[in-house]
Amino acid sequence: MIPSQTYDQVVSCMRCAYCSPACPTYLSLQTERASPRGRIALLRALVEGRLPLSKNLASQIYHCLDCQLCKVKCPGGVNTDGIFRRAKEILAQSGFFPSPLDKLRTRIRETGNIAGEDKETRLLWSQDYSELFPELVRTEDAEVLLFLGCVSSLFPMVYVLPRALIEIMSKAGIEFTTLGEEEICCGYPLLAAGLPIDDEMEGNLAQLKALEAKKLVTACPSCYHTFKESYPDMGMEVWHASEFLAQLLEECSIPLKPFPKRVTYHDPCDLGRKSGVYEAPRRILQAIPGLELVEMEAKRAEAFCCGGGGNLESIDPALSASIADRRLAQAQAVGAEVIASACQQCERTLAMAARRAKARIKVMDIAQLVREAMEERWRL
Amino acid sequence: MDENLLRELSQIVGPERLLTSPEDLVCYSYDASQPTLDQLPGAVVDLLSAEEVAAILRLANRRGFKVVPRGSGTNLSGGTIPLLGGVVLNLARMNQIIEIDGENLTATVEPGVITDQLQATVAAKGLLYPPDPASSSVSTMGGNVAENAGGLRGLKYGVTGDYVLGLEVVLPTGEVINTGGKCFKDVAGYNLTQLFVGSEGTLGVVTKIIVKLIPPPEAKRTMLALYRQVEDAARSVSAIIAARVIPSTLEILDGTTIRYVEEFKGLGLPLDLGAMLLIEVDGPEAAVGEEASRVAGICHRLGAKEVKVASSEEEALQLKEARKAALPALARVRPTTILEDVTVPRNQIAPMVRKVNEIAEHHEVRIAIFGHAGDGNLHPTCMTDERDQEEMVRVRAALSEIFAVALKLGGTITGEHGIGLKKRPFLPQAVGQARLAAMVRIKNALDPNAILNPGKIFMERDR
Repeated sequence: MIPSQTYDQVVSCMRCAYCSPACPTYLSLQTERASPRGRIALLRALVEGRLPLSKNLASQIYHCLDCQLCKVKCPGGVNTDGIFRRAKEILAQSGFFPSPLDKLRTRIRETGNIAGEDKETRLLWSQDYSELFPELVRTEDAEVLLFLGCVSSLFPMVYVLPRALIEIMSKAGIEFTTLGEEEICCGYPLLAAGLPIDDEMEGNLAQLKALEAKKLVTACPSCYHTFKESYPDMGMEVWHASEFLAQLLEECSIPLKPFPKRVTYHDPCDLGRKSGVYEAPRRILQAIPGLELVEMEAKRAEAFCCGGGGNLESIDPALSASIADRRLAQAQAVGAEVIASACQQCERTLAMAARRAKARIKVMDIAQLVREAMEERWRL
Repeated sequence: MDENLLRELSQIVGPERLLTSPEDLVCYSYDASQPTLDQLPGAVVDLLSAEEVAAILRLANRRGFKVVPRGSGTNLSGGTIPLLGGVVLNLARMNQIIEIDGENLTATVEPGVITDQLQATVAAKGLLYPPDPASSSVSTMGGNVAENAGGLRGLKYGVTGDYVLGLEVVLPTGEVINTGGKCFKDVAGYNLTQLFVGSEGTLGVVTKIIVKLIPPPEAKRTMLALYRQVEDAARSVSAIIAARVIPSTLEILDGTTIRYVEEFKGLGLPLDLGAMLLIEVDGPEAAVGEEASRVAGICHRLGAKEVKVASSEEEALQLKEARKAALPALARVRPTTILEDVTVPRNQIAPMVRKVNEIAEHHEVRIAIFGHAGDGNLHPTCMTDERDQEEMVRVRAALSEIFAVALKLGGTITGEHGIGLKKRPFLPQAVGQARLAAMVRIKNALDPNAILNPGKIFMERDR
């Protein structure tokens, strides 16, 4: 059932537990089954016939955030993410699937987005902008095709991100467009659940190719990671917005006014550890005059997940929140006034943590920070 | 496990902290020892106080079930595997640092405190808790006490036991006792504190620990010496100490380990090396520079091909890179990594390394060696696949021979990992019948019903 290569990896776990104190779910639950070592031991027992396939076992595997910090911490180089990904595929095929994920799958299949909203609502965030930016929807031959992702398109709390992005790009004279209402989920949450994403891939690829854009710029690190790792060659460059903005700020002179705040940067797992993009967001922050960048202890490859990774928020919102609370405390420990990130999911979970803690700390996307610092803005 | 028994356990800890699902039982069936020897417990209880531990031990005596205390389960001896089933006492949640006493220079902690957390907390107050087992990021203080854990700084600063001043212990029969305390001198009766240190969870359950702290050294200097011959490296180790320099770190990597490290990390190390020494001296700023040049001089004189002395913290990190990569490099070679542990008198390091190489070659198994040369404490590390029965026969034969050689050279079968389950067959040979019998009498006196961590240290035939 588990391929021999994956079984070799499972057996290679020395059980030293160096991964455990790094694992967000273990730190919150303080029990072995919530640790990477425990999850691997469960899978080994399953493969060796010492444990039956069960809902409880599946639940432990699906509780993994796929943040992959365990992989960084493993002295034996065990491919933990590969093990958990394969395990989820097998669990999904066997029908052992947490029910919230079943609903998520149905929503994505029926509406093309994670929120289950009508596809017509995908451009609500741009309502006030449609007159200013008539090229916003499916213009052919644009230099940049902006792929916004479900979270920025459909969660009003983070509408500010796509708005900031188009304002900055427009100021810099970049021709851009979006897939508009035809954009569908990239498939990331399905992949994270061990499900195939053929339909999503086919739908997006057809739309993207039709527009013949040169660059695909994604607002969401999870979309970025999925396009890079799981889609076939798309015939266009794939950039994350932070990489694009960093280059834009360096090449075009967008006048920026001081933003005299103490800012820490939270590395999103999908952008940092999983895609290797650490510098671009920091370059952007350093380009803003007066901004003081302070690093948290857990940063870059060792950054701590916001709790929004994988599908944990759908399965166990309370656990996800406790992880966000821990990350918030790490930002507070370095005296940050602003947590900047480059992922709408991270920003949502951290902003909710700040609200729960009644903390005087603001959570902002780096694009939002640039827009705040821009000397000339549109006033809408 | 019996329903009535589970109900009684639940009355002590509440249903939330009594774990009985098949998945939870699998997750407490192992520790970090290899090859694996998983055994399921009947139940796991998460404990929060000495009173709860005592209540469970009393129940265990009354109802005759076995009990295995456990911290993070990072021991390498099989010490927390519930060999005969029973109840695993998970002490990891008793994790409060109760007090840092800046006047007496002591810390009082619960057993579930993570070693690194204690170190970081005392460091923030300008103090040092020196024992530094490699697993300190995850190991618990209770586990460190139970195993008398060592580490890299052992040569100069000693091991866990050297810092334990007092303990609160629940005896196997359920009485809670306090041994020692904050007094640095205390000869009121037997030294029970040190009896429990290293007792591997067989004599009592430690529920509170008082350790002494020291002021940290002002400065340190890091060096790396590369040798063609392991004998030259070993002679350097003895010569450094004979020259009255006690380094805080004196680590050795043998040629095999160096080649695996080079393959893994590409640090540019020569492939014809027989050994390397990582040396660190610490102390007052004025003294470390002078000690470092004396050490470098000795290494050169005794045949080191190259000696590097770090002139900055960054360079020091570079020099430590190979030692840090030793286990990761070896662990990648084969699916199963058996991290062994023997100690010989310091002047027997070279013969021990040579012998291990011969034994590995003879049995056609892959073994590399690294370890704490200053302590004579070596970790022959066997790279194998526990699923290959035929190879495992050869691995077991090789390891037995290695233990026999260590004893023959005046050494011991374990320096810091403990006996646990894995080395019980070799204990009689290591300590002799009379000493073994004395140990068994202590065990039987304290644990008359044999409920606490049964099957560890002693074979059934020894009891």
